Amino acid sequence: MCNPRRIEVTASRQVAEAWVREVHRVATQTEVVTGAARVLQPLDASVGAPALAALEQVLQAGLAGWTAVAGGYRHELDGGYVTYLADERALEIVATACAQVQGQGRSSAALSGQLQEELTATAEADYYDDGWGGWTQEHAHEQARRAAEARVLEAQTKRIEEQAQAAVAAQEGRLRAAAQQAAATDLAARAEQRRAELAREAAARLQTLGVHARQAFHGLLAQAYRQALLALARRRGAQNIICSDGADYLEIEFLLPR
Amino acid sequence: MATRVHFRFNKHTGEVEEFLVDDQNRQLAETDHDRIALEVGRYIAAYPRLHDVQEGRPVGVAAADQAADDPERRPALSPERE
Repeated sequence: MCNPRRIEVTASRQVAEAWVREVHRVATQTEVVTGAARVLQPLDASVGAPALAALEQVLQAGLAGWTAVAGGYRHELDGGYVTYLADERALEIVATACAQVQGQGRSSAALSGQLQEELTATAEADYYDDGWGGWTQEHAHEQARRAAEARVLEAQTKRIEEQAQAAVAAQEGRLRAAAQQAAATDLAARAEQRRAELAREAAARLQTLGVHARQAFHGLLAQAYRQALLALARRRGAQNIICSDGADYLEIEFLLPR
Repeated sequence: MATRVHFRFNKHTGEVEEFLVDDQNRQLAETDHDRIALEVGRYIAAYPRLHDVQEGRPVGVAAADQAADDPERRPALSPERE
């Protein structure tokens, strides 16, 4: 009668194996850049002081389309804006163009290490004590030995991978920062170039934008003229004051007493 | 008798198309007429220029190009006097 038996074999290996791992990190950064072209038109040499004072009062009281900004009041336009600069008493017309720019950066590192460990693994195999069917003790020992050695090799691969991963993790922060820095440098160069291109585009549109800017300013100027002249009329005790303020014209008439 | 002031501003072109200071034939002294015209003109223009208006037609052009496209040009808003 054949009795089943089990044999256990332990395999050990003193491992001294070097490894190398190439690591790359890529970063991108984006920025919206703007180019501008501008022209400054002084007003105090053309617009009378009372009208200019009235213009500022109209803006301070609030006029549709004009928003208070640092240094004055701004009217947004398609492709730019016009600003009344209070200190300079001037009109600034600015054409703008913007675009999104992307910079890319890359960092690399060759990480290396060495696994120096004694690795041990155990495996089992079965046999019959009378060797029935060829399942002898020697055969079972060989099977178990091969399985144990396979497990040692598997453990070696796993331990090397763990060491490499740990090395990558230790360098991760530095690699990411280096990639980001490279992306930032690339972005700065591209942004400067694009900004110059956008400024040229804006300059090409400045004249056309100026027409729209002055049209917006005419509306403001009309309100200033109206306020200034009506103030004059009231101050001088004028009679028969007529004011017609339409979409196309501002028309004022009054009689000044002698 | 009073002095008639008539002002018309074109909102599209930015031009003061008419700026009349009319003594309505009450025969103001020319100096008084000029003085009144300049006083009224300075409410609108920094350096108003006066032009005589004869028979309803201005002798000089009232170049009221306040918001001219050429920013270097000094516009002259000209109260007209009759």
